[in-house]
Amino acid sequence: MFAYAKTLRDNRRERTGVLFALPVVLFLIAFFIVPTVLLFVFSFWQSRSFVLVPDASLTNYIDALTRPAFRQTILTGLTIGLGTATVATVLSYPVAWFIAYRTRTNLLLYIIMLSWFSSYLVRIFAWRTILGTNGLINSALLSLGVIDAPLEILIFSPLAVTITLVHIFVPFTLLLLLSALRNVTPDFLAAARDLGASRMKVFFRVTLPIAYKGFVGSFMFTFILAAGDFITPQLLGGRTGITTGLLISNQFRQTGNWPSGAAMAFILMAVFLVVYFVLVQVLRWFRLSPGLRFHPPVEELRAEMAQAKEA
Amino acid sequence: MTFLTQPVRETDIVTMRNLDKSFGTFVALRDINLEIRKGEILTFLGPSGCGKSTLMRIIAGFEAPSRGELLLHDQDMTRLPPERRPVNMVFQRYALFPHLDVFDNIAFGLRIRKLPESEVRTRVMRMMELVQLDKMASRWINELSGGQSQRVALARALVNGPEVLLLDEPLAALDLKIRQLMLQELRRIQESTGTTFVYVTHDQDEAMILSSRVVLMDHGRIEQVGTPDELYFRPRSLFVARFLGEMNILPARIVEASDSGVVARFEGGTARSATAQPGYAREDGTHIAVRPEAIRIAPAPENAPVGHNACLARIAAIEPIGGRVVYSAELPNGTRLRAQRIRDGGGADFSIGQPVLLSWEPNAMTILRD
Amino acid sequence: MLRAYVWLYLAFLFLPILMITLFAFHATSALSFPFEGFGLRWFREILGNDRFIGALKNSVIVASATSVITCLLGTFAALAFPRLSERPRAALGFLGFAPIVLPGLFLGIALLVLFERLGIFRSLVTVIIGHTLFCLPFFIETVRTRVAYFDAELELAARDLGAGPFTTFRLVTLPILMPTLLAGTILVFALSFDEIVITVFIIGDQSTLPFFILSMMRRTVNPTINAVSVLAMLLTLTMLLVAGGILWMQRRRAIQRRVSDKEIPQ
Repeated sequence: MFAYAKTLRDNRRERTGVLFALPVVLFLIAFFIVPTVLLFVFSFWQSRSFVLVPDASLTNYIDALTRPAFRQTILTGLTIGLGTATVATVLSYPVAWFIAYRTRTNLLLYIIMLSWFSSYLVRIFAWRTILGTNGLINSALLSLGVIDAPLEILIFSPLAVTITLVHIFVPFTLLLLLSALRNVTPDFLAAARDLGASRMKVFFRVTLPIAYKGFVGSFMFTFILAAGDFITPQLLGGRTGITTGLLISNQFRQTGNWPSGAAMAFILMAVFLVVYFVLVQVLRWFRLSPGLRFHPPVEELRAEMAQAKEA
Repeated sequence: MTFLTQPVRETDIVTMRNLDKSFGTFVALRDINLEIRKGEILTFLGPSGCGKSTLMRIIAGFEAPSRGELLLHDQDMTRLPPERRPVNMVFQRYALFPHLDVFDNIAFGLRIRKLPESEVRTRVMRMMELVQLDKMASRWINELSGGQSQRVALARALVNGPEVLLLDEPLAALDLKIRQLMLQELRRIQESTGTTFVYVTHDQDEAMILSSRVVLMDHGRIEQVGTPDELYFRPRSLFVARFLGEMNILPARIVEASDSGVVARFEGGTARSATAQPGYAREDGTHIAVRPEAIRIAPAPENAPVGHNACLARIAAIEPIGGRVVYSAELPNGTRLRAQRIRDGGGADFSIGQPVLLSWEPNAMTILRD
Repeated sequence: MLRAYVWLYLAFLFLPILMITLFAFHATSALSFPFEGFGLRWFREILGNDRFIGALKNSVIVASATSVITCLLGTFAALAFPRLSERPRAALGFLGFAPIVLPGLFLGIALLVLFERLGIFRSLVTVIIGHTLFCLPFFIETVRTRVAYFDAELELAARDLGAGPFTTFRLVTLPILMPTLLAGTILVFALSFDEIVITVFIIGDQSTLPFFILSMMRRTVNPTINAVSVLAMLLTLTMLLVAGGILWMQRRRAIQRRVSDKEIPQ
């Protein structure tokens, strides 16, 4: 009787849940799923003299992939993305560690998060002011007599883009790293030290595998955001800093070739996926992933022991 | 401040000398002098906040003392980092690595020390057998019960062959039945490996059952060190007397002090010690302490004089607790003494309001210094 | 050592922003040191610019509408989680999180294609839709943890005491959630107010504040950008501080309540 009544109540609860979820699900289907599918379909169409022609050919993909210029943008995007993610992670980890294990309040975190919200464009502008031909660094170096002419490498280059993107995304990386570290309680660290691991070994043998998801997530998030960004390369990248993202955005904003842009977008997504799988495989290769066994099955071990006893 | 500089005995593995520890203005430990002897089970017992965990963390190397030194045999290890101490720890919540299975958790320390893999396997297998986990080698940590996790934590520490094994309230997270079983197990494993155990607990029963010696602590100080029996039967301070088991405590004043013993007067009677109590003088304030199970209870005699170590009282409450019954008897001044009797079936032997005579043997009583 | 590094990290984060703020008050148009005196010239210039005022107004409209819509959709979604059984819950969690796994560029062009195919005229409305899509995951994640914290037992308790579902919602669920909802909404406002990556694709003839700044940046290095930036940051920061303040008050009240509970003699 009771079980039956409970099921009824659960059913009603579940129905309320479905009702509550419905608006958001409909919204996401209409403005997320459908557009994504549409974009995918689009990537197989053709654009002939600014008229879109429905088609189902791989021309756009093949065209893009066979163009050296396009492959170059992929490389640039990868360099910028991986560079940003690596630098942001390395810079943020000590701070995340400090907040996780050495502070009691989250004040520091809140201060850092404030900078995340202090406008994306403003920060691009700030770095343009700092790195520009007549910017702070160049004028300082010139007046000190270190250089005779402004350093052009500082601005309008992948380097400038990477520096700026690191600055933009570093608080976000930190937030994700910090929530990853929350899973690694001080007890785990103490236990590893107690068992003879140095600080370095504690990180690779305990912290990283336990907070694996968080580390991978934080790296991938920063990578995708940086590699997919097109406004920073547009403003600071110059000719050598053209990324796939910028290329795609140009296809869609000027009188461009939309289907070709769509195909590029999916190629970019595929590249992101490849990076993810490579990252996971590399971590596995170095045995840094969780869920690995470092010993043969028990039966084998037992046989080994028995043999040893006989000998 | 006097520094102890006597040489370290051969049987002493770890020696603590004049250890102080403070966190900001909070003093966690003061002037700890203690040695850990080879092969013993030494228990740090005390209420929470007494400093027992801090002391253990100092031995493990997770905290550095503010003052004093820590010797391993006769080597100073005060500043040695935890990874370089021949000491291993079983954590209160086990701290088993969730990304490794049982075997690899136990092998962790040996592999860090870069032992040959064949030796790692042999030692881990032998250790798993010892703690009866040999069927669990490939289990993940989240698939273990509390008791099994406990065994893994124990094996992971023991397999390194530590000179001292530290156990930080290892049974606190287990339920009663398993706790009793694990106590037996700890005993068995300690005996078969001969490892020195340092055991932190706030549970006096665990301490009494397990320990060779107990270190009773309060407010960062060692109150008394001794065998469980010494602490139970010969407490040296009011705190120790109150902390262990049940104790009746009466404020008293010395009225007679001689070579044959002392006599102390409390409100309601007098107490006389069986042996000499050096250091007491007439008029010293004191307390006398008697266990409920040491108090005899009898119907009050009419007009008979009450001798030493006895007093008249009136039954105020009766608590039957299974096989025993505890009477609360009220002295004329309102103080209550608790007296325990073994019950052999049937009802209570006394009734509420009944006048009774309480008495005890002189050697069952402790006269405490204030 | 580590402490010094943390300071360095903070300097890296904030010095560029402080520099922009400083130059906004610069008396001359030079964007370099030495500093040549303070003045409000650039603020005066920008506040007299009708296009700036228009863009600001549009940004406020878009951010407000996005906040309201996201709050409504997101709150119901967050409340749905504890009510659903495992599979649909995981599906909803995935769907609700997915939009931020993709770069904004992707969302922008996908929406652009959709609107173009459907013949929807690009305007502030389409911008609001795009911003809602982008902000929803953040909002849901924020509120979801709070809902998971209390929902099931407390609501059942209220129902058990005889309150109907609607009364329970009004008297129990809503008051507890209110501060989180408010903070989440303000967070959404700040995100929307700053959004540019999706906006550039789906905005029509009108302009939002970041769009205005972007077009300024594309043209020249104009010192008024500093002033605009400072005004934009000021607005966002105010919103965030309000949100932070609300959450802080809520926590403090909760702690006080817990303390006073303990003081009740047992």
